[in-house]
Parts: sequence; structure tokens; C-alpha cells
Amino acid sequence: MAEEVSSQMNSLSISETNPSSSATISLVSGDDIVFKVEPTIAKEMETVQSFIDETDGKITTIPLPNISSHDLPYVIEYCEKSIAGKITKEFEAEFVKKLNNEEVKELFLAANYLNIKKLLDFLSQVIADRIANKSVEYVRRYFGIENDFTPEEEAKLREELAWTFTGVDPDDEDEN
Amino acid sequence: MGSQRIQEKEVEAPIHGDILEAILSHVPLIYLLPASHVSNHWNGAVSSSLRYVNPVKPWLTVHTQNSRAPHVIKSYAYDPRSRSWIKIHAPQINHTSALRSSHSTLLYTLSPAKFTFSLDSLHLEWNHAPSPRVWRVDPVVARFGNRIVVAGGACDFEDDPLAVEMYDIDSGNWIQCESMPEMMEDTTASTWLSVAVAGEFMYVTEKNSGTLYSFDCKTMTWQGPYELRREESVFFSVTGMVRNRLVVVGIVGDAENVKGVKIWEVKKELGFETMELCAMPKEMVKKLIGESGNGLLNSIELVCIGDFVYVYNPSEPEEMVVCEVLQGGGCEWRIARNEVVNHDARMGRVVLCGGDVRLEDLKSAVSGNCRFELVQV
Repeated sequence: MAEEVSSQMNSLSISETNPSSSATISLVSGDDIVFKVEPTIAKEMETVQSFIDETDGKITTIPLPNISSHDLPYVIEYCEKSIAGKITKEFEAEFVKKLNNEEVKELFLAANYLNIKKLLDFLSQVIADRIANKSVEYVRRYFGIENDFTPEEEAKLREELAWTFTGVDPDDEDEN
Repeated sequence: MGSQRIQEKEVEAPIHGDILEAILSHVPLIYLLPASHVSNHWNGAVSSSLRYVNPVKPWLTVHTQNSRAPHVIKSYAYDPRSRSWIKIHAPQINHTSALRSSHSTLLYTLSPAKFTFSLDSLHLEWNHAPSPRVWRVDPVVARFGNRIVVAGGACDFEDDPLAVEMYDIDSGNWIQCESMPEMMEDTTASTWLSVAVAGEFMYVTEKNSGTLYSFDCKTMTWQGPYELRREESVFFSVTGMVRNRLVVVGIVGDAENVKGVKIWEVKKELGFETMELCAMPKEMVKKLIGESGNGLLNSIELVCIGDFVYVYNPSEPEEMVVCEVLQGGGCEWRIARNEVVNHDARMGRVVLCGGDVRLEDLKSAVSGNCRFELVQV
């Protein structure tokens, strides 16, 4: 998988400056898979870039223990498109179509950890869209949140504001 | 042990704090209501997101009334906070006459038998009153606190076409006021006049001449005329309130050769002198003129609510231009397509209004059997 990703990198002409002259950066996922990326990609990830800057570029292997080898390729794909200025509505729609709810959440946390503002904004909107029109119960399950209202409070809310608990769309369970 | 339990919880719900508030800032206000019932933590995150990340903004409400069956009214809203359109499923009010709006916040109907009006931000509650003594077809109507003024627009057979009456909501009585200035004799109908209310004053502007009159609600008397003088030739003016500022939006040039649309602030204390706030970008003026029709821009209508000015051409209502007058000075313009007009309003009246809708208002609306639904564009 790692080789496959790095070969994709090479086939892309990303930057006008000669990319072969600068050393590639190795990102190591939480499950110890190495992804080689161009330094321009690393620049998109503020957390990675500040790590490189702090060590004056001497260290080019960066461990990302919070991000799995499943999620990292998506993040890299988004960053590539972002550098190429090719983030269109169509690309975003295609990109998000591939992801189930759990993956969206994981990528969102990855984007937050790596501090990639564009991806974070985009995924915030995706999550916001996925919880719109849904019931309270659905949102609780989606985010793994424990209901901490007292039974009395909950009953009162349900009675007064029934609409907010039923939601408009049926709760789709199978997506996870 | 205690700290371990907290840790477990964090693992369970890793999206919280700032990033949860960021997500919630993308959630339309109507879905923040269910979101605030997810848990106490989420309730706090909703309030905090609304306070610091993406605050509540006033809604534009659009009501469509079937011309053959006036009791069939559909209500929609545009929320600039999430730039989304919302369908409001409210219990039907059985209106029998034409729905009208005045100075962006008041909705009313007037028939020889009855005067009904709605003052709340979502226009769900309606007050019923007897009709004014003088029968009017198209008067100027304005609300000051608990009083509503109805001026001019009288029927031809009435003695005084300039008659003004004021309804006191508390006592339920109509009070006679000083008639409108005689100079307004030919233009007393609301078709020719634009109305704005600031505190105890109603400002009535002749759209074609830019002549302004003011009515003091306390003394029940008129003052004016005042000329809204501007450096350029303006052939059409409408007024509104942006926060507490009286503004006039005008079409510059002439009907055959529209040079632009501008917003001025009117300084009452300087004898109604005007100060330019901003000009509408050229491409948006083109949108207002529209591609079909005669390609002219004869008139514009306004809804002013909070810091927002919605400008539209009544003959091309699909394209709406929104201007947000920023607190620190300057303006932000953008286009908001009126999706409702596209959907199902072609057959009837379309009435635009505005309202400061807060989460609390949605809550009480929902407990009053109202539901909200996002319009998928």
C-alpha cells in the first residue's frame, strides 16, 4: 500500500520547483506503515511542517501515532488536490462518497490532529450535513455520547419538543 | 478511579470542545435545537458555538399566499447564518384577505371587517382587531411598541384620503391622529411610499421623488417634507432600518440607463443629510435587472433586518442581493437566490418580512406544533 501511494506521488507534477531535488518526507502511521510524500504535501499539514521546522529539516521521518494507515491516504489525497488547486465541489462530493460515517469521523480527527484547516472545514460541513434532519438518538449513537439528562428532564424535553426527537429522515443504521 | 472514568468517556466521544463547536457552526439553527438535547455537554457546546463561532443572524421570512385560496399560506425562511432555506410547517391561520408586510417586521391583513397583524419574529401568532373607521385599500401601516398606525390609502369615496388612525393594542381602541400632509395627497397608497420605523418616529418616503415625511407617534403629528439630497441623480428610493440607523437604498441614473444601486445612511440630526455607505457591485445590479423581461430596473423592494439589507426587483424576484452592513464599517454583498419563488410561488402573492429568530423562538414554536425542514437546493 505504501509503495503504491508513493508511486502515485511521483506521477503527479505538483510543484513548479523541481521536486526531485528536495528529500521526501516519511509519514509513519499508527500501525507503522511508511508513506513517502513530497515536502509540499507536508507543508499542508501544519503539525508536520512545524515538526520539520523545529528540527531545521534534519528529521524527515515523522511518526503520526494517532492516524491509521487506512486514513492517511485519504488525507494525502486531499492535500495533493489542495496543492494542485483542484478542490472542486465534484471532487469533494466524490471524496466523501467513499467514506462511511466512522471514516468521516476518523478523518475529521486526523485533520484536526494534523491541523489541515481546509480539510477540517470541509469535514465539519460533511458531519454537520450528516446530522441535519436526524433524531437526537441518532446523533447520540453517531457521536457515541451518553445521555446525561435526568430521566425527568429527558421526559419533559420529549413531551414538549417531540419533533426534535423524531427527526425528519429515518435513522440509517447500516452506514456504520 | 474517578479520573479513569472520565478518560473512558473521552475515548468514547472524541469529538468535543472546540472541534465540536466548529462542527456545530456548520449546522443550521433549526438542527441546533435537536443538537442541544443530545446531552448537557452538547447543550453547552451549542450555546458556546452560537456565542463565539457562528452567531445567530436574523431570518428573512417568505410567505406565499394562493391568490384563489387566501387561507393557503406557505412559509419559508432564509437563514443567512447557514445560507440555507427552511420550510416552516406551521398550523394554518385562516386568512381571508391579502397578506401584506410593512417595514420588514410587521405582517398584517386588512379587510372592511377585520384588521389582523402579527408581531412575533416567526409570524406564528396573530392578533385580531376591528378594522379602522376609514376604509382603506392600500394604507401605510407601522408598528410602534403596542400601537399600530394606519395612514392614507383610503378609498375614493372616503371624505379624507389622508386620514390617519392609531390602534392601541392594550385598550383595543382606534384613535384618530393628524392627517397626512396635503402634499402627499396623490401618493398616499403604500405602493408609492416606503416606510421605516425608528423609535417613536415613522419615516415615510415617496419612492419616486425621495421626499421624506416623519410622523411622531407620541404627539401624533407630521413633519416634513424633507429632501433626501444625494450627489448623484437618484430616481427611486426606498428606506429601512439597519440596526438603529435609517438607511435609504436608491437606484442611480434613470430607468432606461441604470448606473447603479447605492446605500446611504440618513442623518436625521443633520437635517436628513445622506452619507454614502456602499455601492452594490455592478454584476449584482445586472442580476437585479435580470435577463428576461424588459431589461429595465424601475423599482426595488427592501427587507432590512438586523445588519442585513435584502434588495430585490419585484418583477424578477428570484434574484435577491444581500448586503451585510458590517459593524466596523464597510459592507459585504452576495447573491441569495430566492428558492421559494422558484418552487411554488408563481401562482400567488409573495410577501417578504424579517425576524430576529433565536433558538428560544424555535423552541417555543416547536412546542406550539410547528416543524422546520431544510429546503434541499
